[in-house]
Amino acid sequence: MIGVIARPVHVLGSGCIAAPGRGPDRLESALDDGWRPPEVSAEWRPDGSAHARVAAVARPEDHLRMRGLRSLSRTGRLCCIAAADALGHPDLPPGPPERTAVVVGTRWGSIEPLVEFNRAAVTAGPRLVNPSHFPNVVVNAHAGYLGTLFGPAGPNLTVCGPAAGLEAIGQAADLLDLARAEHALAGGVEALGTTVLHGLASEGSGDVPGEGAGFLLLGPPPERPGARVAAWASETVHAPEDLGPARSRVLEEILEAAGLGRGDRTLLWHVGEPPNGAAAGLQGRWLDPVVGSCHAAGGALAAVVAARSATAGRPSVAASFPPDGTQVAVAFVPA
Amino acid sequence: MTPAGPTTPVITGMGVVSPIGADPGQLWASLLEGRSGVAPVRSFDTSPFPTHVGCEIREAPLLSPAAPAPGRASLLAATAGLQALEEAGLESADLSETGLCIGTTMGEACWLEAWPPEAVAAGPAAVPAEELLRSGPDRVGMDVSRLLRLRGPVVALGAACAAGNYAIARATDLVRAGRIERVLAGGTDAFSRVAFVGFSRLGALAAESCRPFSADRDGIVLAEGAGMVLVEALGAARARGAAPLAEVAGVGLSCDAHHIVSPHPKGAGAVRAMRAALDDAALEPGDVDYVCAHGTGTPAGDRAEVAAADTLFGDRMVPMSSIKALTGHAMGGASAIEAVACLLALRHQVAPPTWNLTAPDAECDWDVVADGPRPATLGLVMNNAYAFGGNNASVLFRHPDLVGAAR
Repeated sequence: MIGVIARPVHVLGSGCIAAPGRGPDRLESALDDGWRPPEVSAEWRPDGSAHARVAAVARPEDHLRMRGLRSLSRTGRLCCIAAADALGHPDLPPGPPERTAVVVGTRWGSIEPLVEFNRAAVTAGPRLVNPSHFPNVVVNAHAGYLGTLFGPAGPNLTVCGPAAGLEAIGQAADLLDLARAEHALAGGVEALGTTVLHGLASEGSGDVPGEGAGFLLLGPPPERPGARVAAWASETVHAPEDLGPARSRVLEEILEAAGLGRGDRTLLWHVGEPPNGAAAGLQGRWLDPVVGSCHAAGGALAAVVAARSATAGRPSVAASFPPDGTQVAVAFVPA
Repeated sequence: MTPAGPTTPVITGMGVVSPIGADPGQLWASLLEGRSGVAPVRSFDTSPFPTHVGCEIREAPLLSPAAPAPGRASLLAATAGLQALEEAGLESADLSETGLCIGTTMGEACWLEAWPPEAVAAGPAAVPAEELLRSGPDRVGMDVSRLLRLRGPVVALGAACAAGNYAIARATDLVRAGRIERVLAGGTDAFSRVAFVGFSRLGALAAESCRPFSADRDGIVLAEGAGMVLVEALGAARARGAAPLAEVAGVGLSCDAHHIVSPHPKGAGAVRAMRAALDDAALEPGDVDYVCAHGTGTPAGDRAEVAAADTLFGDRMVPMSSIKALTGHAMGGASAIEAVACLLALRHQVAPPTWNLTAPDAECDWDVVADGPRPATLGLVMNNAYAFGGNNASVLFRHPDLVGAAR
């Protein structure tokens, strides 16, 4: 499926947090410097053996000084850090709040709160569960908190899946393209915890687990040159043998939809599995060694750096190629 | 008046699995006869709770696929989805380009809820945590797509109790923008102990029954279920000779940006969602003939919903009803089940009643259809849904004889 964004949907702001630190500058320098996640502390190795390295965010609570965060999960806090930067918080967001959308992508954003909520109910009894923890088990709570904390009152959506961070940016571009909103805060988030780490260890993929959040603020053309969203492409894969061809098609489709040819020296910022040679003609940058395997957040982080590359004059594609499910790419072009 | 175009989104099939009916015909009969799905909860011990009733599905013939067995939410959705595809007259060979938009509250909580208590208490190392990595809303989407042999894109949305409407809205956008010709869309959730705990601790569970808009209402009755509709481009439907059941005339989404669980007291976000849907359809409030309310039966929710209706419709009290008195609140499945009820209301030209409204509430002073099924000329019906996170979604369905009117 392809979405060509006909209206001018520009990138007005960006924010991110991941294992290397906070902000697009830090992420870019980590990618350039070959930064790698350190060996993990005991905090992330509850059984002493699960993962040698974990691309975790150090003390996310240190990055936020807002009120109203007490009820937020780790997912919600990572979300807020990146979203606040994309919005330019504490400055007021541009445009009327009721015309500003929020679109959040996540795969595991509510797993840890769900497990903790269930454990409290099982061990202490349902009458002693803290009701303020219940909203966090519902996967759209994180987008809802962005609405209550920062004020956007337009469409508020949560997309789910391993590539949902990029899907969210594509859906947000659609919302603007279809005039359902004038601005959109869009991105992805994942948070690690002991349940996710144990689950990943059991699956035994060998990936370095990661977490983080990345957000873009999209809207009408600004006065200064920058980048715009040209198109998105996605394809859902049901069988492992279809992954490679699907990724090739997604890349071919996104380049065609964005009107990009080989002469455009398009950069590819990708997360997940390598695009299997399909990226021939594209100069690829793989984020996973730096940010870890952070699913929906990874695609959004790729979008953050892709948008900056486009702002600097280089057409860029962000791609999220998880080992199953929906494969997604979003194209950013200088504008 | 703008004529309908080839990408005008229409509904060509519907399906439902609910506590009061395992297909649209059964659902409609129950809605008119007042057959309730409320009963003592069977799937877990409710003795630690102050509430002991729920709306569980007990007699529906769900799909029984070969291994790997999907979770219950996926089975509910796939069963409803199969009905929708069959009504639309689509064979499996026609599904290569059929997408799926599905909404749930939290995916498949059934895996976690099946873990032994002692293992849960012992921590993550003692439970099969990898099951949870494959239990999210995206897994529901992938499983439903696999079960129905859909080969198109899968979009999984989390929007809590408005998830069905959100999925229909996204499908509508994809079809109208020409991104894809047909999308199976709807919502689903299975009966969940975690949800029961959560709503109980929020004081939101009714003691015995759901009584929307009644002065003595005391909360929701937790339920399960799924509703699915096939959203199709009018041109594609006509090309294969499929008759639309309705047009998706407009959709509107908004966020209260007020509180994570409590509605805005004046329903400000709900008003914006309804207005956005009407703007999307190029229609006015006066064009709406019936509102299928969210109507959960909570004191604050119903009061805010009537306040929102009052703001939008003013003195013209559009007939409104809630079917949750019978179906209970199926969370992610709720608004999709209600979408099917809207399509049935258009088909039969009858507004289904709100059962259990025995004590009129001055704060819910509205034309709530409560005196039995009300025959009416229904050209445009509005389906409203509101959720945690302040997520609001309104969808407008137009009678098939009026497809494309005023656009």
